[in-house]
Amino acid sequence: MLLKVENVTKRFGGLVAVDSVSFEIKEGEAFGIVGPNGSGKTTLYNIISGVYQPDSGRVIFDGRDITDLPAHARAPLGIGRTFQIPRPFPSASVRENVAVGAMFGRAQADVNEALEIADHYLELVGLTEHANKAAGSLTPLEKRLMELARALAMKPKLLLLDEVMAGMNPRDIGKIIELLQKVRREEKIAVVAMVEHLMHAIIKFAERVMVMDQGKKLLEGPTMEVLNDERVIEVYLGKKIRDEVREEVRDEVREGAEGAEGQQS
Amino acid sequence: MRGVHTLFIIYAILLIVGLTVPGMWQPVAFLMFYVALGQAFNIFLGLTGYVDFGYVAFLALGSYGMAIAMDSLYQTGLGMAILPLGLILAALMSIILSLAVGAVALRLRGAYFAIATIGVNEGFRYLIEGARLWGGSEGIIITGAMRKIFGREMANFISTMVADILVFGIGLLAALTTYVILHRRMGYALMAIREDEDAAKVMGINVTKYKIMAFITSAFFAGLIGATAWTLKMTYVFPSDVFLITYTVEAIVIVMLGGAGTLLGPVVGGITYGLLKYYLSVILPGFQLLILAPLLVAIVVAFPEGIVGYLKEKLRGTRFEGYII
Repeated sequence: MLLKVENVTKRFGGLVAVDSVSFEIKEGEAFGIVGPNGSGKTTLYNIISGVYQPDSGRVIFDGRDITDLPAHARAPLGIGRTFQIPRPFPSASVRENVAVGAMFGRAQADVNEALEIADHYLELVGLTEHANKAAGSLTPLEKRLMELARALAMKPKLLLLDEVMAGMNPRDIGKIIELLQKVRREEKIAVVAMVEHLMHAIIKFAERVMVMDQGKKLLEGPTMEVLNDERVIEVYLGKKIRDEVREEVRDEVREGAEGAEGQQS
Repeated sequence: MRGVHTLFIIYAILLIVGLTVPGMWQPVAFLMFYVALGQAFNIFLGLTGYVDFGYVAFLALGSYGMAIAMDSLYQTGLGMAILPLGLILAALMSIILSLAVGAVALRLRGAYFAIATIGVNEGFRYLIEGARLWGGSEGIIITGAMRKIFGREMANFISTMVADILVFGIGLLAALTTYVILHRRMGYALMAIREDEDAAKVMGINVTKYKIMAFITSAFFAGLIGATAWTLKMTYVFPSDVFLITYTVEAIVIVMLGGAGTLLGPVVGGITYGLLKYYLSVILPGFQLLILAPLLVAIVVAFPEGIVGYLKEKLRGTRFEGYII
């Protein structure tokens, strides 16, 4: 197991943002975390990447207990992430932004190496022509891609993506998923994608998903099975509408699955 | 490397003007103090984005370091060797203070750090005066000690010439240090910290470590400037002179005016500020602060990235790009 999250709880005052959540991620796995707004997804990311310390529970990465490790000590072990609202270093160039990832992540590259690694990943995400622009001048979408390149340049073993596909059109989402599958295969990175709404994207991308609701883990398992579960539909649509739209949603999910199978083969 | 060439050219012009034009050495030395002060402070303020309101304490401790060395060693017969010993003691005292302040205050973020440092210089001044440390409020006068060590002629030469040349050299060394930092991992780490400290942490940057490294380096140069520009030049140290917050404010203005975090910013900022202050004090004595303050506010509002930062942005993509860094 690459990552083991054991009974992690995080409270903010009276609010239990993450409530005794446990799950595991295997090396090189494509994992999805799904849940409505406020279900504790981002808090969970912050606990894994070290922004917050959990109130109880443990986080084990690559066989090592990292629960008390500060954030800056986790990146070199191989944890990379993006942010829900992109956080570029705005006045530095796009290339420098990505190079920082290569310098201080698991790659621990020196400056020249890091700039080369940056060029490689900028090409991969299609930002080569913007390499010398100030990162702050990119469009929101380009900022997301830049963050993805920056996280990949860290050479992580575990890549945590926070809504990386939000706001993208279906074609771009297809491209990003293809890219993620490629780096996952070639560099053996476990990729965790967290989404609020993009179910068709998660169906295409993830082998397994975990659904969160109000800080708790609702379900975990193979993607199709979980997303077809009545409880999941209820979380998103409420009990009342559940029955009315059940068939409709199922059809949609089925179509998505067929599409995904078509792509994978 | 072209940016360094621009730096050397500006320094060479200053040096040549000072040495060849009669009567210009003191005005040039006056400018060089501000340039060096800016260069030293830029390593911290410019590279990390943290404002240290107690910065003058490092210059003050450096000036005490030199004075203590002269005052306690003049009978040992070490002669010329006392000068480098004084510089070493000055640097050590500033570094120790920076470690003490940094270990506590650099765990705080942005504005909280600035507030925590406000008291450092005043606190130290009252400690020295109240505890009658190092001569208390009477300070240390080393005019006699210097004459005994170096002889009358040489002591005179040191305070009128050598002190200024040393300030010049320290300013240059601080600039070259900035250049080296900017092109290493440390420079990238500090950039990341300045732009987004939380993101920097998640990217694997040990933010406290890099902030302290920049703080110590900056304090080291500040100590040397205090030892040379004040103690060697004036041949005395009074706590009421060396702990003045005015110097901290001037250092902030120079760095912001020139362009925080740039290599040439402190040179441009130091010369601009020095010239303005000098000529305003000649043309309108007593009014210089009244004119300077709104002028500086206007410049900082119009060019938040400073003169060099503005030029750098304008020249991006042209063939002059590398000359302004």
